[in-house]
Amino acid sequence: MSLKLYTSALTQLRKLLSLSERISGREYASGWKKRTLKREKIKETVIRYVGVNAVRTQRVYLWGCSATGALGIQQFLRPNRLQKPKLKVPYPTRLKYMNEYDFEIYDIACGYGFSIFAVKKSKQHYLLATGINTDSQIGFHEEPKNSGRLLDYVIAPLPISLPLNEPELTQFKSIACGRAHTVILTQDNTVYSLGNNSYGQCGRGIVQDEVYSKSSRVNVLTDLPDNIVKVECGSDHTLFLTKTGEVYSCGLGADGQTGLGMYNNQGTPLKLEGDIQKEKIVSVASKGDCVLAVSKKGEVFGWGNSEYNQLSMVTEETQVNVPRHLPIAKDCGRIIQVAAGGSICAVLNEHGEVYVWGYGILGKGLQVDMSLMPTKIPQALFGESELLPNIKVTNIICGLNHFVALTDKGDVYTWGKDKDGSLGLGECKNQFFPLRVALPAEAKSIYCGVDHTVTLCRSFC
Amino acid sequence: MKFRWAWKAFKKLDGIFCIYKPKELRFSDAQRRIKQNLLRDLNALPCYEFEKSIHDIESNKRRTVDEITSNLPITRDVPDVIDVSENRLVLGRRYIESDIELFPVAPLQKHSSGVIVMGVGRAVGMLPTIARAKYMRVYHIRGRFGWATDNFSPKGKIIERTSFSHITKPKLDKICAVVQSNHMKLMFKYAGVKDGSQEAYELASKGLIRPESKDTPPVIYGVHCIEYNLPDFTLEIHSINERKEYFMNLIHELGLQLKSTAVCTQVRRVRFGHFTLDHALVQDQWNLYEIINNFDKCHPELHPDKLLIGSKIDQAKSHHFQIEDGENKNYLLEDS
Repeated sequence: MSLKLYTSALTQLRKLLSLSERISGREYASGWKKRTLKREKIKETVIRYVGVNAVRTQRVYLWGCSATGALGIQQFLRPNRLQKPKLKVPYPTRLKYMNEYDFEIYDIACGYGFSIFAVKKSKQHYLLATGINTDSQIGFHEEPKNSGRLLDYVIAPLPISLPLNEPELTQFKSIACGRAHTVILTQDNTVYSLGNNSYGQCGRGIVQDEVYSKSSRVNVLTDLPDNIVKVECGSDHTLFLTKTGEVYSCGLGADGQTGLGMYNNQGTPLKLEGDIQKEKIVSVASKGDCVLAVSKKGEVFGWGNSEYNQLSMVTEETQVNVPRHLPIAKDCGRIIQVAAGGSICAVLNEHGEVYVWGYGILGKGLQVDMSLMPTKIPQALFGESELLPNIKVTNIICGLNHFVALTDKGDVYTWGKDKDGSLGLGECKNQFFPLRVALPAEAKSIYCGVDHTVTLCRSFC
Repeated sequence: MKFRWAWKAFKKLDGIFCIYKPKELRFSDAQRRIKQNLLRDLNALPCYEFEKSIHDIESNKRRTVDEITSNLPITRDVPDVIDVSENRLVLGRRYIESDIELFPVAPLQKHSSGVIVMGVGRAVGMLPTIARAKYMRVYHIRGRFGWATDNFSPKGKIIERTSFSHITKPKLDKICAVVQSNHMKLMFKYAGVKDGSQEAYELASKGLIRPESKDTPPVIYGVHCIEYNLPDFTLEIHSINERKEYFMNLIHELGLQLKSTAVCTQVRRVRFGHFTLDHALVQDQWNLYEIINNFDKCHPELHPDKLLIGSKIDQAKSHHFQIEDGENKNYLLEDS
């Protein structure tokens, strides 16, 4: 009401002003008149900060150790004249590179100090990589071309060249990164692998004293069935998941993490047996040397290292080389996702609740550092309260010693050991229960390496 | 409720009540107005002995005399000389401003309106206990997109005008959700627990955490949009330790996040803990009789179970309070 009166008074004033001008016919204006006209001008011009057809854009926020170049932001390692290089970034920073070149990201994989982005630009597909390249795990990069200067560390995203039939038209179905190798699955069901093969993790025979550094070699895996849907890498082993729910594996088997019934290294992928033989596996997870898998019915299976009681509910051995069924579904409900780190494990059930076990910072406070059986993390820690009921966790992943969870509200929660700022909470301090990361956008998916985390977000407007 | 004797009314004027302060009225003015109304109503009642109606005196006397000496004949002394030592014309008004103690809990500023809890008489001692309960307050904040002023208030100088047609309700809701979850982190900070301790975990797993004292910066527990009608919108905000300036700033930043600008046009407190708009007395009801009636209405909200939410209950039980069932009003004053 008062506003209306105010505006009507102003219009009257404006009329008066124009009238007086007409009567007097003078050109110059008094100070009062000048000020009034200036004020009116400010009120009349409407500023438009957003275009008419503006849409929500994709944004990448990442944090963690930037000394390896895994964050892909050049300014951190090669700063301007007056700035210092930043080796740790313990808060979310935006990777503007993708928006500058109009790349649309559809998949990300994070390894031990390197990241790979599967991107699309007007129907052309690229694989961009950044980070450590000491074992050629992100390809052969010579910069400038034909100069003989081969990059061991890539600090801004560069495209990986793969021996594809139709380069730039082939979509990437799934990518995964291990300690020093990368596995790529394309849409025509061909699996490529790059990087270190000292344990057979690239899916080819082990060659003694092979030099992996500065090599341009890309392997094509031929021994696999043609219905692979997902690849997953542990630290030095690789797992392949088929459409029918079978699991193939190759690589280091010292802790039984290949699950092939032996402790030897395996060069070519073989099919896993044991308890998962008749089950349809929908998802596998492994970051270190313990592997968890979940079937379509919601049952959990595990194999590999059990030194930290990851699998102690079914066996007392410290190494398990055959997939074993873990009887946790009756306590936790139907499981939809699993996460297995170095000594920590987590499962997510269909109600959006997280259960953790293992050894280390589990997210149950300072006192609980070991748990043999899955214990629930209170839902209140993911932001649930009387005022905001029904919060569901939709995705959980882990690095070697920290967890990252995504809720249905688009919030990211982290907890665990803070190695070089991988929690993104602003200070390099261990966090003993889930805490929200201050992201200025709505997170859609999360990816996590050993010391860095990448989130794919959408802007608010 | 009717009174025949001012002293009786004054004795009853001892409790917690609740008012609705209108917009554009200073709280000190409202406080003065209530005081004056109370004095006006008290002084209108018979205050001195001679002002008592004859009927009252006679009935009182007959009863007492009957009880003591029922056999004796009733005699009545009528003084020859009128005693003027206790007369309104000599002593003036019986009740003056300093007789009434009247204080609030968390008063509101001039431009905001809403529920204020107040104490009168001896119950003023109860107010610190209510403040210590750190009740959650619910506000309805009204904002308008499209303009920015130099001091965030609608009366300030207009700095710029912006377009707002691109804003939609889902976008506004998302920003509200972010504001709410951003404050989760602050809750631990202000709750006075050490970061990363077991105590912090236990507090966090209970859900809402109240700040340690009333001097911490504002903490917001819930924000959601209840009315959306461009360019106006209304937010419902649950918070503790807030101030009007904080809400104005919040609305301004919310506008910036949505790539526009906004100004806070109204701040209205609709709830103060268990005290709601139903309890509150509007300006016309600020008189002796309504206030005394309001004591009974507010009394159930002062039960120890409701009052001890914010404090550490075990400690409080042993030191300050004797929790008893029933209508014992004494616990109200024990803590003072």
